[in-house]
Amino acid sequence: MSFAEKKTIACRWLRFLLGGGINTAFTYAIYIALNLAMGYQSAYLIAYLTGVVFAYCFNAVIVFRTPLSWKGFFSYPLVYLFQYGASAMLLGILVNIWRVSETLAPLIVTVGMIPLTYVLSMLVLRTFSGDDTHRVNNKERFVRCYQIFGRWLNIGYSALVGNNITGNIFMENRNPHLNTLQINDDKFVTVSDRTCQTILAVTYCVVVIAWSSVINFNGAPDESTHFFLVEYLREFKTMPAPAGPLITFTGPLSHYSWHPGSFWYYGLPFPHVVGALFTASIGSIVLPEPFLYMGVRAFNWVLAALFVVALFRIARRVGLSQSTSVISVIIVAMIPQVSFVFAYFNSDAYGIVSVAWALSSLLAYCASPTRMRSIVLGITIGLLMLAKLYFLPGLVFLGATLVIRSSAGLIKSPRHYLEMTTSCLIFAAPMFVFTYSHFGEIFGISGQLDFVKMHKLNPNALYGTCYYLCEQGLIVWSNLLPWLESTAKSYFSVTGWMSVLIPDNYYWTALLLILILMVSALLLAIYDWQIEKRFSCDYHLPLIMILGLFPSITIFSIIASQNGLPQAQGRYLFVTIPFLAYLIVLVIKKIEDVLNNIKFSK
Amino acid sequence: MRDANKITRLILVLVSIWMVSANFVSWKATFLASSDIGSTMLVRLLNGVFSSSVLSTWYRLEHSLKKEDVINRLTISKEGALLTIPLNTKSVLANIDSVSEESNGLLVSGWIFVSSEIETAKFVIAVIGESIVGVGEIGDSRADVAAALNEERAVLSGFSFSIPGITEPHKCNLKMFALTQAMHLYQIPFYCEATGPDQVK
Repeated sequence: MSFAEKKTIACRWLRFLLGGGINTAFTYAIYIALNLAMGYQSAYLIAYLTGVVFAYCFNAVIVFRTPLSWKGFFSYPLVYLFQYGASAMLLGILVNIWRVSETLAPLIVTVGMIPLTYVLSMLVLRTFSGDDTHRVNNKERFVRCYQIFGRWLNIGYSALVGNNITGNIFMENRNPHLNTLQINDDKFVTVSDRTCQTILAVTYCVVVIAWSSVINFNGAPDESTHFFLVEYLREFKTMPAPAGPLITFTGPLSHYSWHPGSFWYYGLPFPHVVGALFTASIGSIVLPEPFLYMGVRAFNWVLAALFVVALFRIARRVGLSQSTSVISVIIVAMIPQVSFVFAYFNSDAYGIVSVAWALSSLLAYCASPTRMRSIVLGITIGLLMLAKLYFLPGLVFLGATLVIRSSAGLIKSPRHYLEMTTSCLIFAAPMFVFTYSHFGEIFGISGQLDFVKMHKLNPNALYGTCYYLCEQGLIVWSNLLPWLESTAKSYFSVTGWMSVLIPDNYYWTALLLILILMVSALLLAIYDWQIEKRFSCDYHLPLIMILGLFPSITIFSIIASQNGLPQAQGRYLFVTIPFLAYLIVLVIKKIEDVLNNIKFSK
Repeated sequence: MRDANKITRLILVLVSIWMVSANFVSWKATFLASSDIGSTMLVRLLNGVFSSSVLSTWYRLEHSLKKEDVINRLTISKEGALLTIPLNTKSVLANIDSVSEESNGLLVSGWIFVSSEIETAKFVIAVIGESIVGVGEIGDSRADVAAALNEERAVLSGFSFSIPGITEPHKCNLKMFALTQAMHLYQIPFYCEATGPDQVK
């Protein structure tokens, strides 16, 4: 920014502050004068409204130098409306949460609101002034805001992916040779794709925070169990013993107490804990004491943002339009159980996100198998390997796709596999080695068996439930059917401690929708086969694997639940969520293609 | 073709709207089912914002004592001021769920909901004869009551409090009242079944 520009902005600020001062004196004088003739409330109302009119005229003509217009005049009160809401909220936070004195807080709010009022006034006046130059500038300004925010969200990742459709903003002027397609010359369209990701990420973050705000600490399955490692590492900077703390330990973030012998998930990688340690450190600076546990949950909020970005990339990679991609992302991300999982601290959120990113990277690599993309795919596979055991079937999908595509000659660079493996090991091996050196295992099998044993030996849980090969017969339908119902429901929405349900019509509608999706997928596959007379690696292959994934994961889950787990949990099927998103976009794309073909043949 | 694509997109939009509504319904159910709804971040933030805003001040002024109340109900003597709180004859939705004996007295639990939008019941007062023997605060989470009355405002209508020094045989002598934030007093219907012939009169 040149000196002249800086000077202009400084002068504008001075004029704005001067206008505020004059306005205060002006409205106060009116109030005093009117109060001689009428009640104080009426006098204040008139003075206040006059102040708004004065502020509009002064800021438009003197401060921002935009033309006066009726549209601008009637839009200007929006500034005050927004400013009032923001000040009331800030005042409440300062007084009630940060315990600032009630006398001092309004002063802080008043000073804090000056920049906000300045920015809002500028935006409203320039947007509604009827001056097209400013309108374009505002649009650009918004876009730049998104760009800056988007950079924070996607930091580094898009640069590695080199995604020519969605991540090229990061690549332009850096490594353009990585992109197979030319960057779109239309700057607004190019930015727009990332704007979509940013809006999706921010909006979904808000949704997830809204969910978090209604769940008390440990108000969801195993949150305290996952918190234990975060709290212990923060406090003692060393790994706890498999048997839990040696003496009763109270966490400084959650104020929850763990007693000797408390169960925790030992002997398995803990990437979510590492992330949570980072967000908790930031949270402990900015959050008030009662909500320190939200700092730990904040890691899942970040994961939620990354999740929707990954889904959007999957949809775009399949070839859907921007708006259709956004809608398909909304459908999957707003599944109540998915939002719920991101709202409290657990390892499943990490698992879902790692599967989604691995899938997105796989599609990017398959579309254009460059060296950089093979490295990125390796990294995401490495991160996925650190997820909990029941997310690892996702690796089968990735491995099978790579092997079959290579066999079909669609991927021709064996050297990529070496790079992929190396990058995968670089990201996964250190934590595996660390975990193995401490616990002698890397997948937490012992902990999982302890967990199962805990229920198996529990008379209150009727020593577990038998589903097959039981005394009652080969398959005990009276046990299995409720299990299936419970699993299906908790895949869609059973929140709290797996006890809060919603009206049945929602479950039935969800079931109907998923059945329609699967039947449509199959019918389209048959139609495609009849038309093309060949097996499609872009449609038939993923379809077979996705449709096979659901029953196979369900069967594994039943095997794991036999005489063990206390209740059916849809979370063991969560590995399928990113694949469900993939299935939805595949079907939509295929429907669009079929409709195009019909139109073309006509 | 364009029409067909439009229809596809319309169907997707409808599904996404339905999913958003399902998400909201589930969020609401989770919120109402919280074991301690008052300590959720949402409630604490809203309380914080509301209790410090101008709106709240206006609300408190508007729905607390009125000038007529001061004229008609307040008497001032040398000992101090005395505010008369007449018993409101309007019926309220309430129930005493249980009165059980505990180590040092009785434990009373139930719920009360004042349907007026400007009034909130704050305290339950237990009286024997003319003596106040126990006071409990209203505000426990009762999602079941809210669901049964189809009134979201009734979600914090529960109460549970101890009446020390009163034993089981005296429980049918109890009378229960609810005091609102606007200083109105309502009687809570309490149907007591005598447990034995030694009920104290």
